[in-house]
Amino acid sequence: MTKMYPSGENCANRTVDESLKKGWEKVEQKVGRVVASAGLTAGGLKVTELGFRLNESMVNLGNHAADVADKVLGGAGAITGLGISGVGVAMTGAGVYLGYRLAKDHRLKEKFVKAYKNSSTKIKTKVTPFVAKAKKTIEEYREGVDITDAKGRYTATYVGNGKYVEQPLKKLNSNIKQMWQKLKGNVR
Amino acid sequence: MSEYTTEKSFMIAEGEAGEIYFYLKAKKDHPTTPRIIYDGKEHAIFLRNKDQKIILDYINPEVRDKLRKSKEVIIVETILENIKECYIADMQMVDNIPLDWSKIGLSTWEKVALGK
Repeated sequence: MTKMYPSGENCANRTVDESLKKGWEKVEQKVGRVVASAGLTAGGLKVTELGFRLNESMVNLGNHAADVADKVLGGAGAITGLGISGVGVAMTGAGVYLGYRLAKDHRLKEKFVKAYKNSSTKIKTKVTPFVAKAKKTIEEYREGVDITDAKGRYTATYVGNGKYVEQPLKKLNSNIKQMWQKLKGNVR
Repeated sequence: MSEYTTEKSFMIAEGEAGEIYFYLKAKKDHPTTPRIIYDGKEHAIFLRNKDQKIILDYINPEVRDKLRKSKEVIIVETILENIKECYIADMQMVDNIPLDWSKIGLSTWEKVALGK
């Protein structure tokens, strides 16, 4: 059985299980803070950067917290494909949290950026800070790295200047993949 | 110490056969001479290539002994939930890493755990 040892400054004060609890508390705080102070109204829609912040948190939190966040923020039948140039928008009773669904991975963030380019001036004004953050994230993840889809299948390698090169599927050790499935919720 | 970066959050895992895995955030470029220098204490230094030195800070106390006995470990670099690449890194054990960790703001696991 795989044993896990969280390490590093951010992990030194919590166990794996404790991290879920701590992580969820962070989500609660962020939800409260973002809804209370950082929510922006664009055309009657509540648009926040919650999605991106939540994504950062959820990578740390593990599946449990992510599941809870999912139910609170977008699950429970409250997802609506609102569509800003094809980008899905997660709707809850508190408003529309643009980005929650978009922040699942950087490819969705790319879609968000593309959608932003086609959106109205009013919306552009409101979401500019979030787009800047998304762009930064995309570039960080892109540079010289292989791009895989959500199931870990290799899709392409980014070689710079906006160009991707396709290569044969990388063969990964099955042990590593299995362990990663177990661990990915607890690694940032 | 300015040429070093600190990992801050990573996972060490032990497989069924006792092999040790390090799950780190993906880095730029490919590693050329991956090697970990460790003295069995709080922090280790990961030499990824000639110009890329990463401090693996606050090694979990529960795995230090196993790490000390390892001759090599498997490094897995990840992007979000995907694996970028994985490779073997040699473990180079030393009696003491001659660095003053406090100068770069590092302390001990116990102090951090207690919030000091």
